[in-house]
Amino acid sequence: MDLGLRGKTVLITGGSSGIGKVTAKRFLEEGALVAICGRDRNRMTAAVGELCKVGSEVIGEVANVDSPQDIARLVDVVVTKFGRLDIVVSNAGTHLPGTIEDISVQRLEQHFRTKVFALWELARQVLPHMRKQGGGRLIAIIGQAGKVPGDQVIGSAAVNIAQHAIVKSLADYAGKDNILVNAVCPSRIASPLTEHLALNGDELLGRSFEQQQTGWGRQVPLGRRGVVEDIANAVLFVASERASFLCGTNIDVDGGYQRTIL
Amino acid sequence: MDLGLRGKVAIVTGGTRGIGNAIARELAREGASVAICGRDAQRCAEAAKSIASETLSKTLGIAADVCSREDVKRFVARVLEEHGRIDILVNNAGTHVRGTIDNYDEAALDRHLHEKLFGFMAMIHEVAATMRKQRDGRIVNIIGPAGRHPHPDRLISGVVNAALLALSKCTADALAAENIRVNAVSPQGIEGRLVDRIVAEEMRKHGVSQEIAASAFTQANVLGRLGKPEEVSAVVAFLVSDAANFICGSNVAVDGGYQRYVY
Repeated sequence: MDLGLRGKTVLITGGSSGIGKVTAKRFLEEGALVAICGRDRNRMTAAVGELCKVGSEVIGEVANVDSPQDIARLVDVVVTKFGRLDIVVSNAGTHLPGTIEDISVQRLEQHFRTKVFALWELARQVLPHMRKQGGGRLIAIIGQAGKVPGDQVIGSAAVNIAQHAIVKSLADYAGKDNILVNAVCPSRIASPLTEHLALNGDELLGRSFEQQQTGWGRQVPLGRRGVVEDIANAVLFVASERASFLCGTNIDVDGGYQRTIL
Repeated sequence: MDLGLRGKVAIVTGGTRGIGNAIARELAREGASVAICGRDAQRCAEAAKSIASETLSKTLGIAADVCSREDVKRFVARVLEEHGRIDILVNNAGTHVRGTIDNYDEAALDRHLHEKLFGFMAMIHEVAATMRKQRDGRIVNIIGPAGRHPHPDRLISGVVNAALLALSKCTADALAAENIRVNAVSPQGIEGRLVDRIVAEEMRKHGVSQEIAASAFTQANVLGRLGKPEEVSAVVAFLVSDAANFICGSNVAVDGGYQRYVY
């Protein structure tokens, strides 16, 4: 399938490791020009070195998306170097495990800053550019705690559902300007983020006796973890010319983990 | 992106026209051998011939009505006889049926239940054994928005689509352990005979112009336009591809922003 991504310019936040880095690599393979940002200079240098082997047009910018000033500078740098910004992937951030008693308001606030406020500010900064150039794509990576709440994921659940609310409302606002806003929702992916994540008890909630007994439903119906490429492929498709009627929707990439039928 | 569909065998029900035809073409263009069915033998033969000549892909066109259990069995057996395997099933046959609680057509409800709900279920039941044996299968149910977004006059489709969402998730859970992925796509406001028919009905019923009647669709979504069948077929091709190997039990709205939920 020709995704029509050749020559498109892409910005991926949190692009120096995990899902972000592999997504950057896949965009480069499809002929796009890619900018990534991350907080750690050494990790950024290493990631850019790796990505340069895949495609010639790679920008690595050290920036912390928690800071609105950094986001403004980041978008400015990318637009100046690439001349336009077609696709933005809001990916930076991590999972916040623990019960309500484990998580202080300060830590929760920090996560809101990275995942919710950053998405908000990123949208504020890129919308004018996309509008001027006649359209664009904004894709948020939203953890599946937004759809699968639980006692051990209360922090991420609150953060993720706020991201969903922004994506849908923003899609309503930006769609008329041919700016399509959508989400990809990963869960049960083997990545640096989940490497050290302890399993928690709520994996069985909402599952049938048979699912619990046979074990295949303990974690994920497909019976295996996904790989970061699974997320990258979904992001590529949603960013592609072929996904032109997707607006304010989201794709679960979770091996069947989430329990709703909607 | 290489979808890994070359050499795969795909069934598309209701593949002679509209969205189903676009899906069959898309899969054939990606290198799959496609088998379509429809109720009209001549339309089936013509559509299969047209797909085969455009894509050079081996295409079967079999007259079969998914309302009939015998037809479903015969259709699937014929595909197996020809190819020896079935990798992909796209349940697409069926239409959209309106009606309110005070005014609905009993026969239309019955027909719709048999075509979309029982038909989809029968097709999945019929291909499951083969896919289990292969330890690989990809199924997509084409549903519609009324299951999540009901209206007073969408009673029949609303009820049937809600049931189809349940069918999709239940079968996804049941078959996932054997690497059979079931997902759903819910299109809304796609160019074609269905929208044309509804617009004509609205014009007649309310005495309004074509433009005003059509605006019921174009103003109901964010993008302000109808979608194209190819915008649906691309999503289906992605979901049945190797690129979507971890997508299971999901429903993707292809609706230009029509549905009103945060997820």
